[in-house]
Amino acid sequence: MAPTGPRNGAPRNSARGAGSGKAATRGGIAKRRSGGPIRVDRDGDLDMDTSAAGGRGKKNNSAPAGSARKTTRTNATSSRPSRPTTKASHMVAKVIQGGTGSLHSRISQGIDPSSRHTRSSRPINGTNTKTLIVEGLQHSKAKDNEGGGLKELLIFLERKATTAGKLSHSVRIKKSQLRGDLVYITASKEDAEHILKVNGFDWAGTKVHITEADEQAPNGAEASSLSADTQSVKENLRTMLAQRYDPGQKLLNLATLGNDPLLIQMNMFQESTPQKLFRALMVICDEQFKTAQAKRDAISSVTLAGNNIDDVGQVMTLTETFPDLVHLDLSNNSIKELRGLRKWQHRLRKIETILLINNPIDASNPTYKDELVSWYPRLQNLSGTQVRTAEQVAAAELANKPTPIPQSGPDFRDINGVGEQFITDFIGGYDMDRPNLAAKYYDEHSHFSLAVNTRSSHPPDMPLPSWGSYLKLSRNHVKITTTGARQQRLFSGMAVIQNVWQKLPPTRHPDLATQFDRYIIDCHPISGLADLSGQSPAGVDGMIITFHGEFEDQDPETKATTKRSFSRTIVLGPGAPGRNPIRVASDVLSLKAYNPLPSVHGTTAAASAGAVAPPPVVSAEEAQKQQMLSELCRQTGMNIEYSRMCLDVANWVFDQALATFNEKRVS
Amino acid sequence: MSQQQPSHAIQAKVASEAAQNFVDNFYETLNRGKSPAQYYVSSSTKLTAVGGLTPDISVNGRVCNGGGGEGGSVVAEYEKLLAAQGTPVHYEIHSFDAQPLNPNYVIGLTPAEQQQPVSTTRERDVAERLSFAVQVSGALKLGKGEDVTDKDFNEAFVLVPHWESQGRSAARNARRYLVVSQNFRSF
Repeated sequence: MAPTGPRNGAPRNSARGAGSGKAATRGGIAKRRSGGPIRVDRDGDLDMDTSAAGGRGKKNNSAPAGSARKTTRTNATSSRPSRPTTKASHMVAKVIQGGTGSLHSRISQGIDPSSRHTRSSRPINGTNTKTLIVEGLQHSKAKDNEGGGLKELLIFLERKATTAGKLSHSVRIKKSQLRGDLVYITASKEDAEHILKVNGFDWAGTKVHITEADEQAPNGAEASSLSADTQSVKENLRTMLAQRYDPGQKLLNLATLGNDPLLIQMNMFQESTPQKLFRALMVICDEQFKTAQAKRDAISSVTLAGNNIDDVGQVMTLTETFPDLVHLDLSNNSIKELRGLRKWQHRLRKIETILLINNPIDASNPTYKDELVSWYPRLQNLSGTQVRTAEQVAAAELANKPTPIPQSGPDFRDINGVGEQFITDFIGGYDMDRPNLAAKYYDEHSHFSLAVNTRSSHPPDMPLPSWGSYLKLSRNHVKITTTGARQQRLFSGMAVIQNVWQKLPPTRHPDLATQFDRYIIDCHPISGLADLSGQSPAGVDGMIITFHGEFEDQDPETKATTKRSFSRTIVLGPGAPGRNPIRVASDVLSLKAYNPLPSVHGTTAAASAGAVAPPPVVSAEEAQKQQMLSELCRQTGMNIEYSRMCLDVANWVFDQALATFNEKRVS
Repeated sequence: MSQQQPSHAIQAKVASEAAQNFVDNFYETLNRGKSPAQYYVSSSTKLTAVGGLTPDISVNGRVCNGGGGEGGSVVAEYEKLLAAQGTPVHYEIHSFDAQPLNPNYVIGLTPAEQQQPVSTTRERDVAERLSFAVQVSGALKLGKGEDVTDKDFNEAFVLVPHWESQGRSAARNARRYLVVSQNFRSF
């Protein structure tokens, strides 16, 4: 079979096959790369090494074999009873093996550098995979390709294994490694069987020979020694950090790391780049703390002075590890421009001190300080100069903290005491005699529904109430979303409302007259309500009352009482002819866990200005006027306001008002 | 009622769906710090000029009256109150409920328009004439992170048809209903 040439020209730096039109049909390959960046991760070196070892060392349970991750963990737990620190180990391992040095060493070991895995590569579960050895790459035409032809070989194997096996799924090579002349590939046991069938196929001018690999991990020993190295390096770094930590000052001193005797002794700067070393240090720091609070409590200051930093990107992880840092010393570095600090512009939100003494930026950009002050709202000390006082910071924060719209007293814009009388009647009637209350104010076009808000706040000492008998009726639209259920839970018509009110537990509201502070009652006139008399096509005027309060109810079965808070909006209009002059058009009840109302009645200015307080006491005269008003509304079909105007004109002589009405109507 | 009313079921359906749309959008607008002016009857010429309506907005007992009648609008005063809260302020809706009010709301229509017969069975026609009440219960979150202050709130609205959003020449994306009454309380 002739090699399929075209792929030799495929892009090699991106993921194999990704972006090519055939990627979709070779889902296996695409999948292997999915979940991680397509860009080859240059830090992925060790990840691959350890996991590759894991793949091969599946049967060997002795220390050198097994998954390298596992080995690390075992070592970690045995040498130190603290938490397993896999992440740090890997980080440290990357430091040792990472960077250019590592690439070099890997090439010298014969490991193909192009087959690095992304960060998302996971170690393969050794028990379900098989490792194969593929010969032939060295003699193929593809070996002069960039990357040594490995990618092309893998694509070939996957494709041929899939087609040769007439498989419905794509064969996937999970892992590959070039060692000398041999290519080690790892796939699931099932896929490996299919790949073996490709043995002897022609490829790139040669034949590929595929055999099963020894069970012995080819580099298991290396992996374990690496892991041991990792552990010792980590221990050393930890020791170094401990020496540099001043618990009294809560200061972590990371100044002049380049001169650190321990790091020099460890040869860290030959083995790794400073950035990677710093990252590893941060990961180790991070591991020392269980919570962000513990971290804040232990370290509030860090000095990075004298590290030749010209861009904070080089020590980026500092702000990830210590987002709440208060004091930071960056003196004696090489920061030349604001650009070198820009990456931290939106971080370090708690920073109060930044020292940038003896950085080139002082000379090159004289206005940088203003900029920094604007970046960090809590910054007070910039290179030894006070740029804000603590009071200024506190004042600014207070000013920035949102404040709720202040409470005023009741907004009770009543019309002729109608609202006042209704609410008195209603609250008493709802507790004492619901059937009669419904009969008086509700008619066949009245609606009632209730909605339970189970997520409201409540005082911490109050147990959350159970909503048993209410939930079945609750019409909370957030929870009840279907048209059918919403319709079922809307109660329309007096008889239906009477019926549902009978099902609700008996209640006791605080006495409106003596415990007025347990209520907040707002109301105002509203126009355009349905006119049941049919005489005002444009609709009639009425009133909308929204009141908030509390009640105690009693479970009919257990007799247990529960206090709850409620808000209720009732729309009042003129009653239908021959009925009570006032009707409820709409009654929307919202229930929630008991939580006392804020005190709004102390705001005396608003309360005395025409509000309902003191509790409604309807004078005899007012009651009589009310009666006349209702009667006039009933007889004339006029709304309350017009009826009142009419009666005012007639000096509250009923017959005269009626006569006036008839005169006007004729004209 | 002299004329036939649409059934309670169809009224309720229209009211619930319109309320859902209103609640979803209104609080999103507030949470984004945008102006809610488009939600009020003051944005409709017919409702204001023909119908003589102004929105009635009462916030924690304070009635917005346009800053003492110096040409300021009711909604502008409401917006001022909102802005005075500072940022960030987030409304979280825990519960809401809606009921139909008037199935033949005509304020803002000319007498001729009022006389035009509308179907009481076709949902679309019912939707064009319905006013409804909404009551919302939720939490107001002021600030963020550890400094957040939680307050429960209750808000009641009455919405009426937005005549300019109906018919062929209607502006696209116009609100179908507008707020004529709003009562807010935080606890």
